[in-house]
Amino acid sequence: MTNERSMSVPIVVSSQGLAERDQRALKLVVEFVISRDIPCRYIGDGNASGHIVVVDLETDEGHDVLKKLRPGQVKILFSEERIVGKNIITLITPIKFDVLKKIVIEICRQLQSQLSRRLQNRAETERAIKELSNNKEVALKDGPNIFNVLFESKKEKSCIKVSVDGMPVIFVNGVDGVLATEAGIEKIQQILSSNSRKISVKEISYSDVPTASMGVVSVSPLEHALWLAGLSWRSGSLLDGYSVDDVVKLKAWPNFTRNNFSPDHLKLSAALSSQAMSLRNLNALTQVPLNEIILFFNACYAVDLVGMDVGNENKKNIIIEKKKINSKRRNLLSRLADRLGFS
Amino acid sequence: MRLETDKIIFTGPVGSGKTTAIRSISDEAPVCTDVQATDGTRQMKKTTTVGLDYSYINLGDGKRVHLYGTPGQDRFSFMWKILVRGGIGLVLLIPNDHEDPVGQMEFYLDSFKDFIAETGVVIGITRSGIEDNACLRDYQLKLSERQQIYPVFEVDARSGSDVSILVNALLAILL
Repeated sequence: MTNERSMSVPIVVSSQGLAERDQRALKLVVEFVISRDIPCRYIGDGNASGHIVVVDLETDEGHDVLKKLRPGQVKILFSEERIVGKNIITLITPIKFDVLKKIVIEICRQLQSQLSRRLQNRAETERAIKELSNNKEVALKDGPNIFNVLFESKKEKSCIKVSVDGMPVIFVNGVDGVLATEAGIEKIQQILSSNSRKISVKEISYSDVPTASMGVVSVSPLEHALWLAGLSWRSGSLLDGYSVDDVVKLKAWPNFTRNNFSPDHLKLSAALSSQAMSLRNLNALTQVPLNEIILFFNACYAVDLVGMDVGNENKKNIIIEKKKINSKRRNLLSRLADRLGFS
Repeated sequence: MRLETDKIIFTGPVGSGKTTAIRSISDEAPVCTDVQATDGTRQMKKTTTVGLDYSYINLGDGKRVHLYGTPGQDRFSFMWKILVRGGIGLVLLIPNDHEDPVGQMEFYLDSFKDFIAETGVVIGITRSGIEDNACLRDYQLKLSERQQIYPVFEVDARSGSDVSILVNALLAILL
């Protein structure tokens, strides 16, 4: 608990283009967040630097600031029309105080977990890098493994050189989203599937990452590596502080023709794309073991295919029924799946 | 020809690979109604389907799943509603080198919306890497805007493995 407290980071809320009345409402919402033991502060209007930025798109100031916001910032938009995008929540005007309060509290709760975990992972990675200044390998008990390291590199847009358990080095370019290595395909798969904690990480500059033009390295998308590593990382825990009771939704299907997958992944994708639900409910509906669902979730999350269904926590308790299909047709489809080799 | 009901429909614009995809997973070479292309289609390929493609997958015990490919040209769109009646689901193939592939995806999703609502659809992006006018993310974003989370995969229509994965995603939705 002490470690969690020391790791807590206040969530900063700012706004742009809000009327006086809405600013007062937002200030009150932040007080509700603080009353739930989540460190948070509102730094005022005319400021686009918060973790959460509330923008009134119906004003010139709000409209102008939208394009300047960073992808990682959570944007709550007051608008007459729905806007779709990453980390964007649209509230259709007129705004109800209770709706704004519920959404901001939920986002702050999630952000708190993410920020704490990120700090913890960064501290461990920095410790590993520091200890490596003498080129020593470090075995970290609960520290990063290959999946964790790749994920952090993508999030932080950093460039690193990684060696797992003495296997060939891989260079990760989090800026361009690629991975470069001299290792062959089989060895790459072995590295990415490894659960070894014996991992050495060194931060490098962008210009130090080998490119395909050098001829001796193979270059592949970081997302493919994240997918494979995510499916293999058997820690039993979910990324970024998610729990099995959080209601999540699939934003897009994984590209299964170009990535490793199992028949269960098709089942999970079909269920999660038809309705947002918790992973616990997903387990109940599909009968896929929860530990396999966790692997699938982590892989999808790492490549931005799944996320929180904010504002729908009431769905946790909904009993989801399988869709009805007549037995004759069900039998036919099952036989077709067998015939195509995917049952 | 009597139109069977245990059928999967393959659709998409001219040159998307419908005939090829059916051929890659069926047990018999498809019956094709190809003729020499004479109109604008000629710029894209030498032959084009003017009626429909037909083949099947045997399941044993005399049971089959029938595979129908719709003609790609707009002037045959009147056949689409006839073809889909009683069908299992839709496989939509979009050639990524089309000048507006995402627009084409929307067109077909709208054209078959009633059938899709009753059954399901999977989307295969063919001809990637030839002249890419969109990336996978573009299709995903457009579907997200439409609040439709359908499977969208990169597919080589010649590859039985790719087309099988596409059909299996359709089965996962239906079951």
